[in-house]
Amino acid sequence: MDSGRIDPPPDRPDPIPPVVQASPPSPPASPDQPKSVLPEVTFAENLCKGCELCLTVCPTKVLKLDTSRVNLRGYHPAIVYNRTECSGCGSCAKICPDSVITVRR
Amino acid sequence: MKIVYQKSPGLTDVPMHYCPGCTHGIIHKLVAETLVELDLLGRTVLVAPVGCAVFAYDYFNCDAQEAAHGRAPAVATGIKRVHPDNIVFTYQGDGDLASIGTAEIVHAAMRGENITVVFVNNAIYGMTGGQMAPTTLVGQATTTSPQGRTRPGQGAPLHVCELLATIEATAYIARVAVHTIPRLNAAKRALKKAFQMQIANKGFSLVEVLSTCPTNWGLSPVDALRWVEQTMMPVFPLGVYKDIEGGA
Amino acid sequence: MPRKLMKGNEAIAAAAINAGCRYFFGYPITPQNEIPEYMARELPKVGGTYVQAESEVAAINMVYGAAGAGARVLTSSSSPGISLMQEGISYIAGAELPCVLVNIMRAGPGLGGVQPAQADYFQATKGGGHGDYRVIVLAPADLQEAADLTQLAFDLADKYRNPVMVLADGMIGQLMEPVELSPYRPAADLPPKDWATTGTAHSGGRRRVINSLYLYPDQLEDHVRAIYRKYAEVERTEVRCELLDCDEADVVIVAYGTTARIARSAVAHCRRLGLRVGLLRPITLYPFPHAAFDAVVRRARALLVVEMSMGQMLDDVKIAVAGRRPISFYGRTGGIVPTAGEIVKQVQALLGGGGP
Repeated sequence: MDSGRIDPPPDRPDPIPPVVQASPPSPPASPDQPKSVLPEVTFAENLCKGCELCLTVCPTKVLKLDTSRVNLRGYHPAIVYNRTECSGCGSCAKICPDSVITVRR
Repeated sequence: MKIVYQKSPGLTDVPMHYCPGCTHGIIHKLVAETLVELDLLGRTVLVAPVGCAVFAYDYFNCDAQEAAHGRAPAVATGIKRVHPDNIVFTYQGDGDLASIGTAEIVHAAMRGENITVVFVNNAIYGMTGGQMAPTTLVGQATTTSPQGRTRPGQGAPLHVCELLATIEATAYIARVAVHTIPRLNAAKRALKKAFQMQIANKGFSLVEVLSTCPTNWGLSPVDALRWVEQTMMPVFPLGVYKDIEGGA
Repeated sequence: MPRKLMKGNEAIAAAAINAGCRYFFGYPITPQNEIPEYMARELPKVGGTYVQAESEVAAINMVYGAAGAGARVLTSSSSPGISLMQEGISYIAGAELPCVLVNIMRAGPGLGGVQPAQADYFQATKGGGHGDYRVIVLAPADLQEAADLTQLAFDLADKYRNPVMVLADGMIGQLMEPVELSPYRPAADLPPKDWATTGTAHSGGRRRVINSLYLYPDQLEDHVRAIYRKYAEVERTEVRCELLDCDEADVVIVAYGTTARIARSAVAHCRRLGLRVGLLRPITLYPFPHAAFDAVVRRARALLVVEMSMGQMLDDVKIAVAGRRPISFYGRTGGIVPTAGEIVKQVQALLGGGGP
């Protein structure tokens, strides 16, 4: 009965756990830039549907779909590929229909 | 580190079933955030529609009732009259509200029911596979208007905000969009205004949200956002159509 | 409480308020308009709410919402309006919500007429709306019984979390008779409404959802079977029926509602003519009193079903009798109410013109 289902009824646990993929590790800090100034963008990766809406609102264009792999739902997940340019504005998180993204600054 | 944005506690943990890029997810978030920020969740009852959002009762972290197609404003009337201190809102698509439910929405507005209606307009029937909706644009191809909607025989789209704004007992009627951050922010402000009208017992409030249906429009999610901006907005202008507190 | 001269429609409405009903959603239709009018006048006096909906479709959905929010709620209509409510009744039964519906039957089909009829028996007892469900149906024969059964209806609705219908007709609705509304106490075994949507602040954070949608077939089957376990209990414990002079009857008339009241007169007249005639009067049409027929078919030679229709309860009588005795039918329709004399003639014809 269960084969082929992706979304079980809410009283059964989701068999696809949301993996939290952090943004890429920050590059070595330069002397005048403390490490903690870079915003932290994390993705509940297995909830991402690869819709690219986050890409359209990013002012510094630091997001892309990671086409080298797919998540457990079969989509290319969105990632931050250039963390140094991320302003931590949170626009990507705001527009994500699936609340995949958490932004801290 | 401070949180700039995280998932709203107004939503449950259930993963949403909507298509990639569907604006239902965004609208759900804005409503949920508004309910949390106004501290209304514990006394809110949602009335869910028939349509893609039929499972809305799985996603909002509050009590809910599932209504028959189009009847949500009537169900909401029943709940609100029994518990006037509860916040009651309906969440309806263009088939639910503007087709089968036309009588119910007009009369809930006529009676000035102190409810809030979130009207998701994507100019097509999503759940049932892309048929023509009352809000389908002239010339727009759907599975039941395969040559494109034509004026003779199929008429022209219904403008719900303009229609309901003529009804005396309405308090706040606004049309918004969510496909850019500034528009999304304005949409959230409109939703907040609408719920504040209900808190203050000012009468009927409705926010129409221009939304995408990438799957049935045959567009990528990003192209669908563009279609809202370039093709829907000229036909359905954004704005406040009624505000008894003078904002219109 | 003193007896008061009341119109049937008003007696039903007054009984509902007496039973704690504080919400009414309805729409005008002849011949039941005194019910919404009474509610519009009287509900505000007891802190209740009357809403005139834009249609019966809207009204039944308001009932759904109010019932889901935990209230005792009433709606009333007449045959064509009850047709409009069928979708909503199916939803109410599927979501396991309590409510009381009143049908003051008029002649059909279609726009039909405004005079009394009993042609909604199928609609009331066999579903009417889509899907597997039943409505508990109570059929009063006079105004006092209409008031009493209305009060009982609220208890049964709450007890079984199911719609309950008071099935009356335009005669009962429009007649005026003395009615006594005794002080009302709800039944002792009513379960608490801990499923009602009152807000998670009330339930300690536990969300409550009123719903009839089950897309997974195994879940839906479990759900429907559970509802039918309720109906099995209803059939075991809630049957109500009246037998008059059936012990030595040669012919037993089977009738309900106004027709049964007229049949009582026919039975008395037959007795004066030396004919042995009885009356079996179902009071609950669902659950139907099948078992009451077992004693009747042992002694009676024949049954005569009388309805203000082309024969609807007739089918249930045939099921109950199971071929053990011959069944005749006499019906009037179009809004015509049979006289006791017509029924007596039918009995005489059945008995071969017996009597002095």
